[in-house]
Amino acid sequence: MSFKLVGLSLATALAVTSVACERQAPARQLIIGEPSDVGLIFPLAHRNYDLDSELRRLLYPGLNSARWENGRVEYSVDDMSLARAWEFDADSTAITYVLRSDAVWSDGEAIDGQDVVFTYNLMRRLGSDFPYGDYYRAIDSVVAREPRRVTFFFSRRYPQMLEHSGYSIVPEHVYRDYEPTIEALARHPALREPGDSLVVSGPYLVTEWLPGERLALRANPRFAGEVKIENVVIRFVPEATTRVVELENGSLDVVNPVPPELLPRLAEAQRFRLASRGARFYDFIAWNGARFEPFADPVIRRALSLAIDRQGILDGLQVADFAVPAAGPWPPIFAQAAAESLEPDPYLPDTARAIFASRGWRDTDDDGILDRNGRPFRFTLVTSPGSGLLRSSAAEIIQAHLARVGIDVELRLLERSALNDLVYFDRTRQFQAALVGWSSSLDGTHVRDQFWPPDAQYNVTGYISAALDTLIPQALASTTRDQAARYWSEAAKVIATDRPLAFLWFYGEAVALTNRVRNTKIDTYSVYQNLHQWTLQP
Amino acid sequence: MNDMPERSGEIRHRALRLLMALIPGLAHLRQGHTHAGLSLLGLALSMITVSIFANERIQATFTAGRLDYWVALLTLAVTLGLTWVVSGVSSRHRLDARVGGSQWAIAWLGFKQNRVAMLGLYLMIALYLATLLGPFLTGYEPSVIGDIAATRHLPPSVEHLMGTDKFGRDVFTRVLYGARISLSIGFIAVTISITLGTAIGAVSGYFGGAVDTVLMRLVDTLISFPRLVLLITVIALFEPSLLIVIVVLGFTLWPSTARIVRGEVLSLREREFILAARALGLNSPRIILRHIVPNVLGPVIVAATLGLGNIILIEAGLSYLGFSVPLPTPTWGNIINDGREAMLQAWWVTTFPGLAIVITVVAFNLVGDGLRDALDPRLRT
Amino acid sequence: MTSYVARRLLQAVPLLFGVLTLVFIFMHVAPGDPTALYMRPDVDPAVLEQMRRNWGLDQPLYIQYFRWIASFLTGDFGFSLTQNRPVSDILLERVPNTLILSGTSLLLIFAIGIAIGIVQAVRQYSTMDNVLTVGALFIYSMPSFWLGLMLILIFAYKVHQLDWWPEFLKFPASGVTSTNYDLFGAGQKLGDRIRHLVLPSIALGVSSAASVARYMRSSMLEVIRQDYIRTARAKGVPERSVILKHALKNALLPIITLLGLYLPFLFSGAVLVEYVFSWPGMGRTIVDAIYQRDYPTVMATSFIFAALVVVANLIADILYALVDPRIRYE
Repeated sequence: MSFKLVGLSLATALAVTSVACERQAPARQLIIGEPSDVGLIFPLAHRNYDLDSELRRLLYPGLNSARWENGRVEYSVDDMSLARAWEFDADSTAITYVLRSDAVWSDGEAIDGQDVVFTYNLMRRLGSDFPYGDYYRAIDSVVAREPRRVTFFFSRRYPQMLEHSGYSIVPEHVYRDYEPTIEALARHPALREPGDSLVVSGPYLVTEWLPGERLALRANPRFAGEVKIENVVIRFVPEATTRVVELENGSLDVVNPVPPELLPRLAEAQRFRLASRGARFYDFIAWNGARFEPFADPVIRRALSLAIDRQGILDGLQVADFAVPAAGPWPPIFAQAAAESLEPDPYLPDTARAIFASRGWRDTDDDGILDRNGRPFRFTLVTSPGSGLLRSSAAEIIQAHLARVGIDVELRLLERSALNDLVYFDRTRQFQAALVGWSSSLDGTHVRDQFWPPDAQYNVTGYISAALDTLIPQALASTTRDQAARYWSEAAKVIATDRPLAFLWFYGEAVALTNRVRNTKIDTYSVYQNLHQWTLQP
Repeated sequence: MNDMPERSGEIRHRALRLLMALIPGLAHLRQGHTHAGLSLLGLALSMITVSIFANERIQATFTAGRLDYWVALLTLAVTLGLTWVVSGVSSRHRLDARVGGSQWAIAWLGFKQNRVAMLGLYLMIALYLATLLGPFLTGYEPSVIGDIAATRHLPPSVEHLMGTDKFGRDVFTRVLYGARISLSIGFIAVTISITLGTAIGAVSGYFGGAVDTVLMRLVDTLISFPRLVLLITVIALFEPSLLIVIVVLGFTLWPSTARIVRGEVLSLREREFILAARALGLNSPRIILRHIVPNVLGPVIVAATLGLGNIILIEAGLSYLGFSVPLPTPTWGNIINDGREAMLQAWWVTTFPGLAIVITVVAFNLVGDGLRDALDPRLRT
Repeated sequence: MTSYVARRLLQAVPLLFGVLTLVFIFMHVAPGDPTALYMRPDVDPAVLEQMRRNWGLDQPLYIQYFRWIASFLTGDFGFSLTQNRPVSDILLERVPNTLILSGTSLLLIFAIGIAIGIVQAVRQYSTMDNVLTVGALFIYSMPSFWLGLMLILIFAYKVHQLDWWPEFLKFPASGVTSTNYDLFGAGQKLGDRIRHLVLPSIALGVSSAASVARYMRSSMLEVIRQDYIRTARAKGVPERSVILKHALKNALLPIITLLGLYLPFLFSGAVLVEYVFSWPGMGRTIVDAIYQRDYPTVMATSFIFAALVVVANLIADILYALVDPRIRYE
């Protein structure tokens, strides 16, 4: 009898759900699957998350429009820039932007020079609440002499002037009366519950934000350019497998990013295509000579590098289409890379063994592990587990590769937070070797950040090089991008020869799209930069 | 002169007693319980064989984390010890059962009649045997990575019973070795939590008053908070490792045992024999240890058996979130987690370790239920 | 009654503070800090240092603790360090989702558990009883997240590729509602929500349902053997009404106490299940917050978790007293 009851209630539930199945033809909408939620949808509050930056550029265009072309960032004006032209002054230490007359905020207010001045002042006033200080540090002042003319005065001529004057602009009339802290700004009603009331200037408006679930966007009728897809929904699906399941079921059109594990599967499927972000992220092993003395010897570091079969790992994990072995910190996508490329270390385990032997490391006690003066060649390699990371899969294989030449690697997996603490924040550097990754900058400046000066926070092995001591100041003092790039790549070459780190590979995350989505421009700079030009085939 | 044969008879008798005490199962054989005797003897012999001959092999496969090896060895020793104790106790109580029958002998008889519970027991023994004999059941190594491209994600076949994982390692082998770690974690953590829970519960129930209030508030606090969240916060404090996971699990799962024991003690406290012991002037630790604890052992053993299954489930959950034993070590949770991303093209990597968990937990629950029915006559239906 | 409730709530205060103090200490002593989220090569380490100072993380632990208590007592949950939003806003979005999921599971647990328990008790030792016992045991022994993964694999993936499989039994793999939810009518909205709830609530609840069934079975068996049931049968009351009217009510009594027991268990499970099904609830919030060391969010979510459990226990006790006249509030 109670069975009947259960049966009855089940039947009712099913009946109700089947009603829902007679779906209305969904409106023309594009559904994107992303792993994590956005933060506060305010350009000056953005975190170091891809989606935060993407959304910032999409909703709040800056004065110029940046594009990745021919191996470098090119700046231009188009429908995604607030300015229609710019000019440098005679000595190239000031840029004057002319704002477009048709650029308006989504509430109808015109975008004028005061908004730009307000934005750059706010950046400065936010202090550490806006951690990306490079954007304003070299800017002496921003002046709007006429409503549509804004001039940036820089303290000197340097390569990133266009980048730094092109940051997202926020509406002054909306946020003027708020105290300059993120905490105060976050209490603005439009930011607390973003919807049509959120004033933006890009091709899309926010219609609804269900944190942790989805963000719905609608074409901005006041946007000057054309918007092809009226509705875009970004769904937050943390589990990578689930994202791909939904893509295959047809409930997602775009999945970003696809974890390495699932790449081969999608590469085979006919209904989808994969777009690579361009090999810009690099994984490496930092050898800390201060904690494990053999690492201090560059010859040993080279031998270790020779014992790791980079291409073998990439082939084995079936990601060879999305990653290339690395020789140094200079990514292959850079314009200069082709001309000055370095060969990655080949896999030569026998040579490695011979080098170890020449330095006194031999397996004298027949336990399969090299030893010298009674001490085995054994160290701990720290890394963080994590889905979607090439390096967390690679750690176990590297362990196996090094075991083949007689080196005993103990793996220690730390949660990301704890790993950051150990490797980057704790200046006493209590690790022996660390398998971590960086994304390279778009212009080569990461060469400084990660390798110079010796006591820099991110120079985790305390790498010292006389050559860098001259090259890097020269790069920093450069006035043009080409000039700087020459010094940066020269410095990268020095680093590649010294091998303070074992550079493993460059890889680019991949985006999967159904074939219905066309006209995309997905590259290392951005995935959704031209979202408004994407089209959706029926 | 005439007491010589008697002497030698006594010596022989003593020697026999000693042998029977030393070798599990011998006593049973002598009493004519061939079946029980042989299985106990076989179990003990196989374990000794394994620990002597397979030692090198076990050690060789655990270079990744030396601690695992010691844990496995410890479990081996404990299991051997348990066989020995069970043998001794059961052979003695069997004798008693013929005369009057002790509580344990009656319980064992009850348990034996419960076919489902016996099935659970056999499953449990089979599992332990499988983990101990692991190196002999499979020709593969759990952590050795070979030619990945050629062996990656092979579906289940005769060569690879449960297929291979993303590094081309045999999943069956990893599940076997994972069993050792998972069961060891469960075993040690349960021992810690049961000991702690019994001690705290007994003290709390026996003394009552302020001690009881404070301890029970602590128990309430720990029980009312989602266990997994508490575990994650504690583990975040340390670096997840085998040892930390065991200790944290052991130290956070005692409250339910404490509650059960306290309830039992409260009712025991007013019984005549405790009152008599008190009247005799015995001190409290002695009363608790000698008179209270033995009488609550029944529910404690039940809680331990059921708890073991529970801990295996919790450990798997922690692994899934990345808060458990780090990866190169195979635990069932780790293997599931490892195969999660490839679930769509290699379902076997996640499915089989999950099934292993289910079967293990079922076995422990069957035994736990059987024990409960056997030890608590009120529940006998 | 009111005073009983008030007293119970007062008793819960030290309990809550105990839990929160524990969590506070564990979290703050653990390595790592929230600035990692802003770490980038072009961010000056000094700026991160300043961030830490702004958040008061450079203060001694006891000062941070008292500050936190002070703001907590004034009802201020603080500001999320990693989401840049007031924690209370975050919780307002997340708590209902978790309640919906665990509420549905709870319903499922008790409806299915009680029904199966009754069937088993009535047909004790029958084949059906044995099959159900063993089946329940298997389900009880499954890790919830694994069951979730398997459910996704089968009902949200494999069956989508079968043409003959009925459309309404193809379930979504994640989320709370469909993306075009707003276009639906009221009935469709409900249906859409239910469709999204089916798999996660099964993954979360089914194991507890199995254990409710076990309790229900033994509780029912005990009741059936009582004299008054025998009397009712002897008087010729139809078996159906003996079971459903006379026995059920008394057999349910001990089951109600389980309610309070299952809630913390459900919340624990929710942490995992929310992850598997991308369900934006408190479980996912707290795990993410722990990963990122977002202290205010961790503390506030812990508080809500513990408070919900206290309230649920209280409700279970009151319910128990309502159905069992022998119990009085003291």
